[in-house]
Amino acid sequence: MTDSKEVTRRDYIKTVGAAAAGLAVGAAAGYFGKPTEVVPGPGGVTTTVRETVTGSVPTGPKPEFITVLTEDFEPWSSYVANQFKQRYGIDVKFVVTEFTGCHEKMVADMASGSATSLYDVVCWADAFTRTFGRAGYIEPLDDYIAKSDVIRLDNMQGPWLGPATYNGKIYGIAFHCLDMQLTYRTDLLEKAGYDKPPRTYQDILEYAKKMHNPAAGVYGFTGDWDDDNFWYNFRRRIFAAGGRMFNKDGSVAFNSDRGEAALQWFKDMWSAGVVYPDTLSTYSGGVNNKVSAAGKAALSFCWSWANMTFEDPKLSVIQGKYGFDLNPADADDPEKKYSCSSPVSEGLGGSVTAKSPNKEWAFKFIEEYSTYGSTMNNINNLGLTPVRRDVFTNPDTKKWPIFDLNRNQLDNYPSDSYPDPHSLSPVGVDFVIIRACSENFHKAMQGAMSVKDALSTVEGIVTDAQKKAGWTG
Amino acid sequence: MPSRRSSTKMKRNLGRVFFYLIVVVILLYILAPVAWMFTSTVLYETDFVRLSSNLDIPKEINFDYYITLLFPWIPTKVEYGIFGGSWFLIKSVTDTTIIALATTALTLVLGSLAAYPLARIRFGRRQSVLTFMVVVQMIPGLAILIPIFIIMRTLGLIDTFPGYILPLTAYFAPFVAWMMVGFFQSTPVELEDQAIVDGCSRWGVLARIVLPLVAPGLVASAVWAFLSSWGEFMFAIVLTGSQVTPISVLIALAVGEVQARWGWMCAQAIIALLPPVVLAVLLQRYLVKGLTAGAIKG
Amino acid sequence: MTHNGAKAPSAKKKRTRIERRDLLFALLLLAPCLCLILVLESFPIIFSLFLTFQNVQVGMKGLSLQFVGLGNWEHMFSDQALIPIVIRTLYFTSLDVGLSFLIGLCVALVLNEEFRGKRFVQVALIIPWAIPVVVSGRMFGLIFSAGFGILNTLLIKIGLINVGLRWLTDTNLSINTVALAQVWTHFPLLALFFLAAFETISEELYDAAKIDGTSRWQRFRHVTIPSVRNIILMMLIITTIASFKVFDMIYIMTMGYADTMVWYFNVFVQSFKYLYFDYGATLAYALFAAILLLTAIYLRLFPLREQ
Repeated sequence: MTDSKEVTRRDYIKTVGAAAAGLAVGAAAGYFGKPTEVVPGPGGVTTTVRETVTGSVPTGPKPEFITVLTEDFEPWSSYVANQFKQRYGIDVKFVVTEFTGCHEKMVADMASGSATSLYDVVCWADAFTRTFGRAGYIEPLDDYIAKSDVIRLDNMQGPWLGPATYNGKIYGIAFHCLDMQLTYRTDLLEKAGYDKPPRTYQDILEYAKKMHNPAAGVYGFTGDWDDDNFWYNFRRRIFAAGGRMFNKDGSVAFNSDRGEAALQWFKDMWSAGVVYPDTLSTYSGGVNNKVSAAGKAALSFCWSWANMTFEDPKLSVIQGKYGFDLNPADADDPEKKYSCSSPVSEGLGGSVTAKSPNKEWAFKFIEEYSTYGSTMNNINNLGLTPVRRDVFTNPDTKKWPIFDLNRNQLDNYPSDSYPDPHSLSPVGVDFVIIRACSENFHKAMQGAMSVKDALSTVEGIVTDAQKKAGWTG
Repeated sequence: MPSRRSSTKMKRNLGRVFFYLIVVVILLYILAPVAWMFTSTVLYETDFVRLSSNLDIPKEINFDYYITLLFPWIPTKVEYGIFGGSWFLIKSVTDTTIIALATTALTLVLGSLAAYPLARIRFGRRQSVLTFMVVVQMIPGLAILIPIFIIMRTLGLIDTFPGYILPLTAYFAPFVAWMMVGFFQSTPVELEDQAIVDGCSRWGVLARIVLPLVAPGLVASAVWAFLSSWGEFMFAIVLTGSQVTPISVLIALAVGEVQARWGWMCAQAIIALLPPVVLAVLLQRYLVKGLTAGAIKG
Repeated sequence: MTHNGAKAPSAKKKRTRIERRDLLFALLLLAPCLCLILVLESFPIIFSLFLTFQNVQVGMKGLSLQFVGLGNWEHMFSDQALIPIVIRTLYFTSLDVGLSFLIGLCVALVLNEEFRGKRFVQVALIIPWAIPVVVSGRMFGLIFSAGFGILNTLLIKIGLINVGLRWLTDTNLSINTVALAQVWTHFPLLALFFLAAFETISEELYDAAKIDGTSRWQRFRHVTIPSVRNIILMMLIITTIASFKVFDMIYIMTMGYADTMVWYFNVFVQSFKYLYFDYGATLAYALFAAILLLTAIYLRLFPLREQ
C-alpha cells in the first residue's frame, strides 16, 4: 500500500537500485553508442566506423509511408528502402525519373501551391540548390545535420558542400560524389604508339585524330554532350581555360575569349569527325559505355559512374584493357597541370521538401543513404564514389580503381565551389542555362551558328531569365 | 497474233511482279521497324550493338529481359533491382489497363449519351453545342495542362486514378460524341417514332432500339478511346507519379543517364505495345467502319 | 386530326408537353458530358487566356500573378526567335501531311485491288497507328542512331554513304527524321480512309469509263479522285491539325534539340523548362487561335459539297 508516507527501506533500495541501473545503462549506451571521433589519416582517409544511426528518433505520429523522388539508383535504393523500413517500420514509395524529369516534377509540385508537398525527399544536385532553395521549396538542413550522428560534415569528401549551400544554409546532402574522368582503351593507345594517356584537352584532340579509324568503325572519342550533360562539360572546359561562368555580381562571364576558346574546342572535336555521333543524342550517357565496351571508341570522357560497366564482367567484353585518368587540363594554363576536376563538384543526393508533413522522417531517410552499411552496399553494387571518408579503410573499395582517382581529384585539385561557386546562377535559373547551352552550343559545334553568336545568344537568354527571376546586380 | 498476245501476257506478268513488289515494300515498311526492335530485346546488349553496327550475327538468343520483366522472381543474368525494373512494369501494365478501361467506359457512356439528344432532339441550342464539341477538340493539350494540374491538386487528386481518368475523359469525350452523332443519325428515325407512338418512353427507345443499332459505332469508339488513353503521354507525366504509373511514362523515362539499357527498354516497349495492337488488330473491322462511316456520309 | 377548330389546341398542348419532356430528357443526357467538358476543358482554356495577360512567377504560394495587359502578346509578336520556329513548323507539317497523304494514297490504291495476302496486309496496316507514339519514338531512335543504328549500317554496306548520317543530331537532317517517324504513325489511318472511300465508288462508273477506252491513269484522275474529294479535304484539315499538335515524338526522339523545335514543343519548353508559364500560355493560345482560323478559312474555301 502506498498510502503510507513513510519511506520504507525496501522503497529506498528500489529507488537507488533503479537509479544505479539507469546510470549503468546510460554509461554503457554512452560508451558503445557514442560516435567515435573522426580522425583524419593519410590521403584524407579517416578511421572511424561506429555510428549511432537511431540517434534521435523523431517524436510524433509515424507516417505509413514517405514519398521519394529520385534518379535510378537500383539496386542501391531498394537496399536503403529496406533498411529504412526495418529500422522504423515506414514504407518508401519511389518516384523514379531522370535528372530533368526530377526537375519538372519538382516544378509542378511547387507550382501547385498546395499545403503539402507531393514528395518528402527529392533529388538534390548542384543545379537544384538555388532553383528550389531560393524559392523555399526545399528545407535548410543545418539543424538536422547538427543533430545527426550519421551525417558528419568532417567525414565527407568532395567539394559538394559549396553548391549545396545557399545564403549560408545547406540545402541538400550528397549520396555519392563523382566527377568526370578520362577513360581510354590501353590496347588502342598502344597501337597508335602512345605510352601515356592524353593530359590536356589539346592532347585529346590530337590523340583522337590519330586513333580514329573509320574503316574499323572505331571513333577517337566519345562523351556525354547531350541535353543536360553538355553544360557540365562546358563548365569544366571553360574553367580549365581560366574562364568563369558568372562574375561575382552574377552577370554572365562565359561570353569572353575564354568562353570562345572553350566552345571552339568542342567545335574542333566535332568537325574533326572523331566524336562518336550519338554523343549529342538525347540520353547518350549509357550508350557511351556500351560503345566503349564494344570497342567502338578509344577515348571516353564522362561521368565516373558510367565506367563501372567496364568493370562488370557481365557487360564488359574486354576486361583489363582500360585505363583511367584525371580530367584534362588546358595546355594554355600551365599553373594547373591536371586541371580542376570540378568547377562545382557533382554528386546526386537528397533534399527535404519544405512542405512535407514528415520532414524529420525524410531526413532520416537521407541518413539511411549515408550510413556505413548503405555506403558499402553502393560500393559493392553500383560503384559510385562514396561521400564518406571512413569507408576507404575497407578493402572492398579497392575493387574500383576509379575511387582513388576521384578522391585525388576532388581533394587536391582546384575547384570552384566554396563558399560561392561561380558556375551557378545566383538566382537559380540553372535549368534555363542547361537547356540554352545545349541548344545553341550544339548548333555552334555543327557550324549552324558561329561560336560568338552562340555565346551571345545564350548570354541574352540567361540575362533575361535572371532579370525575370529578380536579379538586379 | 501470237507475238502480240505473248507480249501482253508478259506485260501483265511484269505488272503483277511489280505489284507484288510494292506489296512487299509496304509490308516491310510497316513491319520491319517493329521486328528490329523485337530483335534488340532477344539479344544481349553488346551482341545487339555488334549486329546493328557490323551485321555480325550473334550466337545466342536471350529471353532474360522478358523473363525478368514478366516473372521477376526468377533469377536471370540481367538483374536490375526492384524499383527501377520488373515489379514496376507489371504494376505499370496493370495501372494502364485500369486507366484505359475506365476511360473507355466513361467516355462511351458520357459521349454516346450526349450524342443521342444532339442527333435526335431538336432544341434551341443544338447547333451551338455541336459546334462547341467540334471546337473543343482543337484545344491543344498544353494550353490546359497547368490549369488542370492546379484543379486536380486542389482536389487532392494528383497521382490518383480519378485524377488522371477524368481529364482524359473530358479530352476524348467530344470526339466520341461527335462520332456517335453521325451513327445515331444514320439509324432510321421511323423505328424510334413508331416506338414512341406505341407508348415507349424516350429512355426505353434509347436503350432497347437505338443502342443495339449503333453497336458498331460503340465498338469503334471504344477501340479508339482505349488506344488513345493507352498511349497518352502528355497529361500522364504531369498528373501521375508513384501510385499511378501509366506505361507511356515508364517507356519514355526508362532511359537513364547511367545505363541506356536498350534491350531492357525495348522489351518494355514491346510489352507496352501488345495490348493496343492486339485490340486494334482483332477489332479492326469495326474500328475502320466506325471511323470512316461518318466521313463517307460526308 | 383534320378538324381545324376542335382538335388543334389540344394537339398543340400535347406537343408542348412532349417537347418539354424531351427537353428534360435531352438535358439529362447532355449534362454529365457537358459538365465534365466545361470544368476540365472550357474553364482551363479560359484560365489560360487569363494567364496570358499576367506575369507569372512560380513560388511557394503556387503561381503568383501580376497583371501586365498585352505585354506577353507584344513580346510574342516581336520575338525574333520565333520566326525560325514558325517556318520550321510549317515545313514539318507540310512534310508530315504531304508524305502521309502520298503513302496513304498509294497503300489504299494497292489495297483496292484483289491479291493474295490482301487480308494480311490490311490487318497489318493498323499496327503503326495502334502502337503508342512513345514506343514508336523509342523504336525509331534505335533505328536512326547515328553510331550503331541499323539504317546507317545498311546504307554504308550498300555503298550509298561512307560515314553514318547523324539523323537525329544534325541540324539540317533532324527535323526530317522526326517527320519521317511521324509519317509512319499517320499514314495507316489515311490509307484506311481512302480505302473506305474507294470502296464506295460504284463499279458502274469504272465500267463506263473502261468502255469509253480510257487508260488506267485517266480513270484514276477522272473517276477515283473526284469521288473521294470530300474525304481528301476532310482528312487534309484533320491531319494538318494533328500535325501541329505533334509532341510525343519530338519529346522522345530529340527533346527539341538540333533544330527540331516546332511551335507546340516550344510551348512545352517555355512553360516547363524555362518556367515562363505566361509566355507558354500565350504561345499555346496563339496556336489554338491559328487552328480555329485555319479551319474557318478552309471550310469557307473548300466547302464539303454533296456528291
